[in-house]
Amino acid sequence: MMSAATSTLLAEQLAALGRSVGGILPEIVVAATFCILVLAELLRRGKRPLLLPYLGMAGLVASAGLAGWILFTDSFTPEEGGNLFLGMVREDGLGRYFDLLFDFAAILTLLVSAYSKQLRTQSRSLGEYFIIVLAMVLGLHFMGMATNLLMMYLALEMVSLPSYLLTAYTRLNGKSAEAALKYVIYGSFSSGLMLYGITWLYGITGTLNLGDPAFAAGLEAASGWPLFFIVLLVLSGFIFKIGALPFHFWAPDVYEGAPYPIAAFFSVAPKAAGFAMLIRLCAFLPLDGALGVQLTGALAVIAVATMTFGNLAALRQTNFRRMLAYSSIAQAGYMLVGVMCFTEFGYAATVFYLTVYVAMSFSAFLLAGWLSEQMGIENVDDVRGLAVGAPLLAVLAVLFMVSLTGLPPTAGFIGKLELFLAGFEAFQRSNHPGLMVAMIAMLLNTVVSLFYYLRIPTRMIFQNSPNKTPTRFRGLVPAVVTVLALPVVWLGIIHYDQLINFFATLVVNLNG
Amino acid sequence: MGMLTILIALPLLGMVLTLLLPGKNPGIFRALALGVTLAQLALFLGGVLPGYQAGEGEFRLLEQLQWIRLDLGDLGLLNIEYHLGLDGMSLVLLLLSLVIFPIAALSSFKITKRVRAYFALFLLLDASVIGVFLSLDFFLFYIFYEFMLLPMFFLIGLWGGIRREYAALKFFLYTLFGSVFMLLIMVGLAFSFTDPALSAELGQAVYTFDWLHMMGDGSSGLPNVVAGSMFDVTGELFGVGARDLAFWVLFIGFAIKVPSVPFHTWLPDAHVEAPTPISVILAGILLKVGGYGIIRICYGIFPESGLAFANWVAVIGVVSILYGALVAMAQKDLKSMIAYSSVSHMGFVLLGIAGLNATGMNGAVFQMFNHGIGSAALFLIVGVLYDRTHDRTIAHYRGLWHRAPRFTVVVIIAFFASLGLPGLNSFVSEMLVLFGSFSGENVSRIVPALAVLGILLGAVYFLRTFRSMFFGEYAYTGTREGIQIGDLNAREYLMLLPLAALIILFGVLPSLVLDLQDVSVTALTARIVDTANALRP
Repeated sequence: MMSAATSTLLAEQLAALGRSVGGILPEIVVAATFCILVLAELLRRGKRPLLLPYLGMAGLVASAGLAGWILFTDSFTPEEGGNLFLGMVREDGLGRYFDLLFDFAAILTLLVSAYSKQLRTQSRSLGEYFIIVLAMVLGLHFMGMATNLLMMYLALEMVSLPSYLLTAYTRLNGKSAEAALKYVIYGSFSSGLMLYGITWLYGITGTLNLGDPAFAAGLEAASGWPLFFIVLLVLSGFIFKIGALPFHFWAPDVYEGAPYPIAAFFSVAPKAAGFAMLIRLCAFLPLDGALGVQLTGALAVIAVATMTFGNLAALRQTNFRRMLAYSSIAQAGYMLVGVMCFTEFGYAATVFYLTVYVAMSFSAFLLAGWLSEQMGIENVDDVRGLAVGAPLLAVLAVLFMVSLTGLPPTAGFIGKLELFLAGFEAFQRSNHPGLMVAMIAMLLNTVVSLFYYLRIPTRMIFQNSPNKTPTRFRGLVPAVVTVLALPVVWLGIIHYDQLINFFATLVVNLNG
Repeated sequence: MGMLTILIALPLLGMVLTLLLPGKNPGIFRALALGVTLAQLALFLGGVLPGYQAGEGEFRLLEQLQWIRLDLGDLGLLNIEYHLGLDGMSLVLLLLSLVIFPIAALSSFKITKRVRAYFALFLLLDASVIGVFLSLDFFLFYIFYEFMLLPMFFLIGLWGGIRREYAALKFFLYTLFGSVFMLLIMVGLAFSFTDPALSAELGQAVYTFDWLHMMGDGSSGLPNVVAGSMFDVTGELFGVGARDLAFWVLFIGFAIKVPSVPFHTWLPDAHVEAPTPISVILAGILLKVGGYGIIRICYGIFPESGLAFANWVAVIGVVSILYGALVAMAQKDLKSMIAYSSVSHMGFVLLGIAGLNATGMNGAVFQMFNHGIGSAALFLIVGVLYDRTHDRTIAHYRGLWHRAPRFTVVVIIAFFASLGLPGLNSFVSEMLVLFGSFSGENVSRIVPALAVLGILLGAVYFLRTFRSMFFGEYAYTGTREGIQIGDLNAREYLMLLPLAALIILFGVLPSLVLDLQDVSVTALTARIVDTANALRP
């Protein structure tokens, strides 16, 4: 017989679960869209190839609209103070803002995929492709919201599994399959480490719920080097997702082998989700004491190694997409500088850089994909002379590459400046040498990165084309990239202070 | 909208027009660029100069707009302003820029490839250079400073010589390497200085990028510094004085731009590969940004470090003077000889600054002005020759006097000005620099004494080059066939005559420029020395 006390507890918990549903409306929309797509795929019998992507986009627009409405009108669920499903996930500004980023990137991905020649010729049927993207978006949403270690792990896997499938989707392409295999192996390894770390944390604190007072209390009691290593183990999963050293090996192969809309999506969305989760975890850790000092040091080592390795490796690449892959590794190193400040200012700077990075990196990968699909150009050297027929292409290439380098007057510069301001402010507080070293490394890396970023536009503009066929820079991808260029310029000159001040409000009281 | 903003906006407007105008007639773009640069000069002479002279205070014609305000949480606010203004030094360098740009625009008429893009970049470069000299906010300065790189990079890389891509990248990398650390120091400075008036108004600490709040206040030291911050007098970084460290990091950044030995190796490459008008702008204006930065930022913001290291700065200056002159002597290519002579002449700027007295500082600023005029003329002369023969080897020419007598007269004026003949402009500034550094308390006497040797070496290579190219019977011994060397045409007269006239004018009446800068530069020097002594008694 169940005792009366247990049954009341159960009833209370069930009621809490019921009340929590109101806090995950955008996620419900994404899940429903996923189901609709599955049904539509069954019913369409191989006809109407554009039905699925447009249905998917409609669902994502609805989800993004809902998330945006909740964010900007401050209509978060009043239940449980936002800590939903017994502390599994948390609905707050940070999560909802990242939902906007994920949905936006996914909409563009679906749009570009729907018209991609490469996808149509190199895979048998595209139906499942769009369905898997939706499943991944659901995982991304939960990565941005998770406040429980188990939920974090599940959300991470919910993103990883679709990623493996999507990488291998163009199965007629040998590189695609190889990349997927590498992705699976590194992904399983790092998530295994993470899981191992989580079990230790559970052993120490007796809870997986980050918001549980027992969690903080247990960590305070257990401080010291063992705890530091346990936290590092947990971080390995995050490091894998953001593509930082030493779990970066998958990135170049995946970005080169995956279908190009997916490569563009992977370069931004899982990375952003990894950072969102990292920021959330850091907000709950007791970082005022020794653990904070140790973690700043560890993250500084990872950041410096990541940006330096990424940039040096990118220097030697001849393939456009592999070059961008290493560049995206280096960029993850820059963004870690914002996280390791462990201040609200630092988190806000990271969110700002991520926002800009979504536009920059997505566009750069789309440009690379477009060049490969339309002109058969895979190699950096083959872009010679393209500026003659397509001046807009050259201008956009200059803009995005300058922004990725981080020079004014682009948003990339403002992003780096923000990271510096945050790093410097944290350095003044803590005097941690790791912060200063990381900032200096970032500056030196900026100079190194100029070498390879400028290679693309200079080849396009300075050198003459070997063949005389004129380039036509028209169509869907050029239009998308041109639109993405606008914020990169706009945020480089004005109004970024409002945006950053807004981000600062998102990262306040993350553990409240 | 103030006059200074219009000075920056005019070329930007010209750039937009250049990009939007229909048609492929290059004449329109040329006329537009020339018109814009002349309009800037007219605005300066008709509006800015009288306005400056009528104004009062150290910085005049101030324009201040709120631009960016970042919330730093419990720390306060970070304020970035659009803040423009002029003092004597920036006034003179602005005048120099506005004289050089129309001449460079005229010289650009020879560009026939992708004219629209060329002039768009040219005008963009114009706007950013003017912005550099007008900014009073470090952030704004940094934006303009970095922004000079891109147009310059493409101007060299697209319209340059055979190894243009290499030269353009080298130029970009050297300058960027010099400036990235400026970002870190700029951020550190912003966290170390507050804006007192705005802080009182808003009721919280307002951190600022404004130079006027960062500069020392003479005897009272640094009134706006945040106690205990990194760039407070006692601030340390990794056990070294943070202000000394910042001084040297910034100094190296600007020394690359000047360029001083040993950071000069990009310059000959850039000059040799750049098209003539771009060489003119590079030597005439862009190098001055380095000297301007050293005075305004290194010495303006870190005066006590500057004072402590004055002798080292002087030594770097003298090494540049001697090494530049010696290498120039060994050059076979006329353009690289002139490029190295730039290294040599810009060394005087450092020497004058290091004197840390009114004479030396005035000499340094005036030397920048004179070198701008003189080197512009020299590079135009190379351009005139190169347009005719596509050959710049000194040894291939004899007796050019017989074929181009008027050209020779201009060459005489430019060469003799560069070797420091009394009565021509460089003589005045080099003397001021030498007087200033000899009487400088912080520079050992042997250093300026060696600099005099540099003048002698300058005479050697300029006279030797002149003799071998212009004297004797006319002969061309190069590999190019069927070349005709004629005298100057009308466009070349228009470019060279004003410069030659200015060289003589400012040689005879140096007070025309010195009067503009003297009061302000003297006050600036006094402020630097007083602050330095107050901070490190």
